[in-house]
Amino acid sequence: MKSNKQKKLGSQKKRPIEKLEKWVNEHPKEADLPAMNITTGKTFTAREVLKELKKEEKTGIATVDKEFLEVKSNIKKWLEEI
Amino acid sequence: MVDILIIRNKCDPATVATNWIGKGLKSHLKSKGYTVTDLNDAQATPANVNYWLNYGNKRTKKVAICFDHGSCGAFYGEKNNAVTPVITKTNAEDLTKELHVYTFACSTSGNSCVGQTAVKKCCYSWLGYTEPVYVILGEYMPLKECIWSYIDAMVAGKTIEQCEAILKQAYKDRFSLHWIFKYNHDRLRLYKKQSGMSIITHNRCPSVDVYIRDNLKDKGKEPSQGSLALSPDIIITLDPVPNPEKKFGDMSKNYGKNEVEIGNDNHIYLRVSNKSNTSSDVHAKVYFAPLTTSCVPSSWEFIGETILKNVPAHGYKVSSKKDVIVWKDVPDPGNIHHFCVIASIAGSGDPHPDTSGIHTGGDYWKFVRDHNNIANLNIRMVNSVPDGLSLTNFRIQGFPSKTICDIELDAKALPAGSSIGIKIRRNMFKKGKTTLKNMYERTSRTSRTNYWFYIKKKGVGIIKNLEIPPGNGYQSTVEVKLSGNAQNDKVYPLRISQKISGKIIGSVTLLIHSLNIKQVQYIAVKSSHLVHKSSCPAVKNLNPENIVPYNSIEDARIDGFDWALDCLNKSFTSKNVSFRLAQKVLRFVNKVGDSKTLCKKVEDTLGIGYYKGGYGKTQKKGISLIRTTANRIIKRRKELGKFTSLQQIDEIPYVGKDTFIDIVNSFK
Ligand SMILES: [Zn+2]
Repeated sequence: MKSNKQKKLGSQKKRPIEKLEKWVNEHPKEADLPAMNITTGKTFTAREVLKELKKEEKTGIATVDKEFLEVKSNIKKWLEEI
Repeated sequence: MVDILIIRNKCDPATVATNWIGKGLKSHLKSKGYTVTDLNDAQATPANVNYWLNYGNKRTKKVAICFDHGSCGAFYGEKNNAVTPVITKTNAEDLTKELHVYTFACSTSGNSCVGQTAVKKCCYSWLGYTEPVYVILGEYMPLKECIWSYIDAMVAGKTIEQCEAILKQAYKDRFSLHWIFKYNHDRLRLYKKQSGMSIITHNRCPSVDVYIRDNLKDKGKEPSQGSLALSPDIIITLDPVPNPEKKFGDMSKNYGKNEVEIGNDNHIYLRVSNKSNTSSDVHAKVYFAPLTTSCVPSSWEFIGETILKNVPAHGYKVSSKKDVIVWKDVPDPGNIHHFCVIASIAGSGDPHPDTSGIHTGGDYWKFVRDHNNIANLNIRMVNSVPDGLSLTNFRIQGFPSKTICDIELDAKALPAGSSIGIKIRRNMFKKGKTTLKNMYERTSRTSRTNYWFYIKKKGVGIIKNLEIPPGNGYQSTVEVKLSGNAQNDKVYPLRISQKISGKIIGSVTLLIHSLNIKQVQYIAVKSSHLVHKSSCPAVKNLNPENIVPYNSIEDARIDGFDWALDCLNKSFTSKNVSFRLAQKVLRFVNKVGDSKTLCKKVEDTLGIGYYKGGYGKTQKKGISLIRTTANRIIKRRKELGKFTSLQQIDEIPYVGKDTFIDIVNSFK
């Protein structure tokens, strides 16, 4: 029983990219809001980040832009909480 | 001179966004009574910031709100349309001394950064972020509201810790809206000089001594003399007062009747005084506790808070219409139907007294006497006709350790011939230890659980050496049969004190208002719980012990009396129904099986006389509900789970006013 339950929970856990896609679909307005790092002035929307993630997954080539990496990691942390 | 300085430049895309967060803030704060300077865009220069913040001139008194660029070393403004530092590690000591700083800017709260440096010097508090923050471009209200939450908490007089908690919660509430809410939340850091500060108590204004009076003779001297249970500066009304400053403006008068109506909204007005040479804002918090001999802070429940702006030097201020504290849906305190109300106030440099050291009633009353920032209303007003009888329940409080105490009834002020008795739980009475002074036991009333003791001769009666087990307390009842010689419209006080080793550790005051039966407008009948017009034949020749006189029908309702059907059969709403009757109706309607039974209840109770009186027609034999209406009520009950207030029944569409009235009247 116990192992079954764990398995079920495990399979329910969505990957970040799926979670982000779901969020983008549910929050179309917020997904297009540009969020700016006040210090660096770099701006990203969640939709752009999702697009990049999908591209990375498809091509296997990751962006190395420092700010983008940071936003990506922040979004991943955030997705764990929502 | 202003309370608050806002700094928000606008010289690049990021500051266009942060600048917008501060847009409208000045007028918002002004509407709350604060004075504000808004250094907007090109005005956010180092020179202007220095002009408004330098400690020498103290032009800003309470808060600096900073929406702009930031770094570890500085908070920025602008000069010649370029980002320029305005508060730095070097000038922070002078510019932020004795102020609260609230930033929405990058990195000022990192380790050893400008925020921490400022607080290490003399800044009271600095809220900032440990790393760069993110802002949303475009006018995104949820972010603006989130950032403003801290400001609203500050200007409401909350402590800096509460402000921080409110901001964190505002961020959390928005986590699902955007990732930056979590990002910024995780990097928020508050530095503070000490805990428990607010912008009202800790700021650049001179320290003052504000007070709220314990009685009309109280001039704010510590310790105060005289009664502690009858503060004239806590005024409770049922309906909001349109012009309270005028209505309650005479400080030599006590306006309180101060009956609290259970199950309804009550309104609390305060009057605060200032002994000092400078004016001050005053923050006031109000609490309640069940009517008890000693309202120790552990029994307090928070009702609300308000700020009275600019209480003048050597003057006083009455709550304005805006400052009223609304006590929503006052809860039923159970067997003890009455409350103590406690007010605590704070002014500049004169914080709320710390209640943490109070454990016993003795501590508490000493605390009230010693602090002019605390006042109490621990009374109950009862109406009585001469020869009338009134009963009041209250609680005799015990303490963590075993308590040996005396209960003293001071009836010196009552007219000769009055009878005063008190019910005492048998287990407080220790044979051989407990003794009576000027009191006797009325054995005809002794029961398995209680004794009744009465005062022998006019004056003071004492029950000595009662014992209360650790952590306990007992409900007691005081019975007063007012002498037939009582004068009309006179108030007779009866004080019940709890004493330990001769010292008063708690007291409850009953004010018995004597009213002549021939001169009042309404007469309530205890046995039926109904109130009649005094001219009604139904109240002629009743035993005075069974009636209560009133000049206001609202007062009768507060005491649990509803309109009699013979002389007061008129239209009403849920607001006019007593808590007692409302509970009776709700219990039935929540339990009734089907709409048919509900109809039958109404049909069985309301006869032809009621119909004639209420509707003026005679064709029908009686009254019943229409089944479809009854069905609507049952349907609504299902939707709600159960009814929790009569208003919910009153508001059901298509049920109609008359039907509502018929249902309620069926339970009279
Ligand atoms: Zn009547």
